[in-house]
Amino acid sequence: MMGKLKESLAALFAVSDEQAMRRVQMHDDERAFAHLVKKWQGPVRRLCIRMLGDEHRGEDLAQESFARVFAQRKHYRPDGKFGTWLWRIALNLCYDELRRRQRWKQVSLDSTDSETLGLLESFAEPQIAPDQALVNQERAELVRRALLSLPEIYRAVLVLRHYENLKFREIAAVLGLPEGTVKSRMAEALTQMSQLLKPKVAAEPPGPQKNSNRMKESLIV
Amino acid sequence: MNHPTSEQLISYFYDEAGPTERAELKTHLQTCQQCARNLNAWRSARTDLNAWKMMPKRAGSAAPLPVLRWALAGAAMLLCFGLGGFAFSWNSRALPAALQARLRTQMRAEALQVAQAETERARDSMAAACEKRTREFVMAFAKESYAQQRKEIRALYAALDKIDSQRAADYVALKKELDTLAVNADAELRSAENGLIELATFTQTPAVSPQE
Ligand SMILES: [Zn+2]
Repeated sequence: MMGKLKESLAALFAVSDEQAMRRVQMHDDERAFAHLVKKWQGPVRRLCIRMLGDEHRGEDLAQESFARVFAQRKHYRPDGKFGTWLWRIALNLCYDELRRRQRWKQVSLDSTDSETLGLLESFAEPQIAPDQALVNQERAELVRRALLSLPEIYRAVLVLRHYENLKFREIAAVLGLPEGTVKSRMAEALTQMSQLLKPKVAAEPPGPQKNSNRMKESLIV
Repeated sequence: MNHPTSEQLISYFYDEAGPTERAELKTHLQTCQQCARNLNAWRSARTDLNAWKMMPKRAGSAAPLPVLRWALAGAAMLLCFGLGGFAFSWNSRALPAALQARLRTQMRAEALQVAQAETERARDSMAAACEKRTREFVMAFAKESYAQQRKEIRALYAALDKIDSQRAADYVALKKELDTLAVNADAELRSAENGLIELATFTQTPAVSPQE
């Protein structure tokens, strides 16, 4: 038993995500799963936090994403990239959460509750002067709010392309959309962001969000 | 002037345009102020976006990466013919409590689902094959699998007995789960046998597919 575990551990250093996931799928391989979690929990966490604009809930959803990966391991198709599948699972959870929020009208760009404060704390870099840290926090907060006011289909593309550095082709695979659609969404996302963030130069608050044109979509996992 | 599409421009902007397209766009941007302005707006947005940095982990939860670990799962997760239950144990210190609880509950629910789904699937494929020899084979396989399962449980018990007494407490929970598993295995085998016996008289292929 132990020999087998050591063997699989050693082999893990050489396996691809797809191979690891295949082992989770076929053998409920705990090491392979741990390997995937370790490698992907940072990116998934960032995606969820940026999609939700909320660090605490984002972290919850990141964990939930891995729980779901395990729950749906039998549905994983080995011909696809593991990352694509995982991004899609995480994004779907984010969409669900955003929909729930809107239903309960909990989303508030003016929130100053502990969650936002907690988020702001995380921007503080201990090594820099307090006033500079404050400026950085404010700028980060502006970006967070601007992103949150972006329709979520644009936000998803923007987060994956800009922050996670996925190629348009990869994003298209995640979203199940033509590459051209992803590109035009990214162009629109950046254009909207530049407009939303422009007022910050003039020290004005970002413009009002348009809820009416908020587009929704659902992904099939 | 023929402006490039936003798709072409964004490809260029993110360095994903092919060499020919890239050269053409570059030339266009040198002469077209409108497109150059669009690109500049994107550029400043892109710079602004970088203001939202993400710390690896918020203060207070800066613990090392929560490496998931199914303690002894390799031996304990005795899936046989899909009909067996899972004995599932997590190393509580290595795993966030919330995820641990979730996965534990999930595994329990799954064990039941798997048992049911596999029985149905077996019935489906059996009905399709509808051949006496196949039925006999599956029946024998199920019995063999359960025998194997019990053997592994006994082996695991033996291994557990050898573990230091100071660590024994850690394994009490697992042992308890294994007891349940052993009991369930008997019950499931009986139910599987019943299901398979039903098959002997089963002639119609059910339309229901357990997949997705
Ligand atoms: Zn032009």
